[in-house]
Amino acid sequence: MDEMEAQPVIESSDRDLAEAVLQYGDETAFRELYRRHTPRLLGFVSRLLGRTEAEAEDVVQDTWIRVCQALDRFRWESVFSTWLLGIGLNVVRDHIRRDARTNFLDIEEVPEPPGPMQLPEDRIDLDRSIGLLPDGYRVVLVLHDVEGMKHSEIAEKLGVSTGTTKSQLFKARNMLRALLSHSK
Amino acid sequence: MNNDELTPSEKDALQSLPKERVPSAFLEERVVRTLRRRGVLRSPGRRMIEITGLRVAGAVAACVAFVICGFALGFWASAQEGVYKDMTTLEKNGVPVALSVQQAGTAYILALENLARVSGTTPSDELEQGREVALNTLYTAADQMVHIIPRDVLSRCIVNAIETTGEAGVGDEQEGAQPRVIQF
Repeated sequence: MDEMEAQPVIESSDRDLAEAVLQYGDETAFRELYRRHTPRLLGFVSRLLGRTEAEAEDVVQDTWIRVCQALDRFRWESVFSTWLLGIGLNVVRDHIRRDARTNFLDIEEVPEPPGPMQLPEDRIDLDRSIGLLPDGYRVVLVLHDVEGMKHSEIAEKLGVSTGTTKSQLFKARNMLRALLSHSK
Repeated sequence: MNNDELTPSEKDALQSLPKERVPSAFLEERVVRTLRRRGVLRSPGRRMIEITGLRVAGAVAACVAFVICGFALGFWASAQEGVYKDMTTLEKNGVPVALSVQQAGTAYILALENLARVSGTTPSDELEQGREVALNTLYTAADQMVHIIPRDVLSRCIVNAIETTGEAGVGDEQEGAQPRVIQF
């Protein structure tokens, strides 16, 4: 009767798939890896970027290209998704720099704190308000308050001091509260 | 409220924002195409095939089967050519057969002309015999035509008319009997 029992589907690990891509250029393995991680990657870069869906998809594409180029250097000491999002963050920053809409650390004009956030009933409004933040503020706020990263991690990834990230976060929260109270 | 810290509701609202986003249907193809163009991925059709003993044996068997099929096809085609040749020979022989029919018909008409010419001087018994032979010949010829071309209306009418009148002694002929052949 044991033979009649359904065999569990063995899912290839990220490492197996990545090695198939690396050694054989296996397209099927890449598609599997892509489908597994792209929704999370797209959600991450979209919120960090705060721009159109098309721009976010461009960033996702560039991220996967960089990932494939750097795959042979990945030591598998962290999980694949963390490494992927780290590369995604770098691509977002490059995109913002190229865009030159704002300088990452140049924003000094912060509105007066209006009090606690007037939290919207709809998550979309909150997301939209985050998208309206200046790039530097938004990146720190998303990494700290949405993704749950610590100041030390953010500072390391962005190549700035923890004092800078704390200052950016303070300003970002105040501006977000102002934006939400204004939208109410 | 310290503006440096998030309230529990603010924290919940930010942390519960959706982390994933569904990419557009075209993004995957776009990424795969770009990676193919850069030589990172090989399309599934061009994947390297590992050579194993089983695959070599399969390839040899396929080659043998291919040769046998080719041989059988050639043999069949040559047999068809023989049949074709036979058919053309028959067609060529058809011309003298038609000619001989025409010659026999001409002889038959000449004999009838002779019969008509002597009808004034010949005794009535001989004339009656000549008429009976002529009718028999006409009936047999029409009957042959009906056997050769069953849909030939004129021949069938001649046969029916002679059978209906009971002339030429054909009324007692059995169905399916061999047609009579008149030698001139």
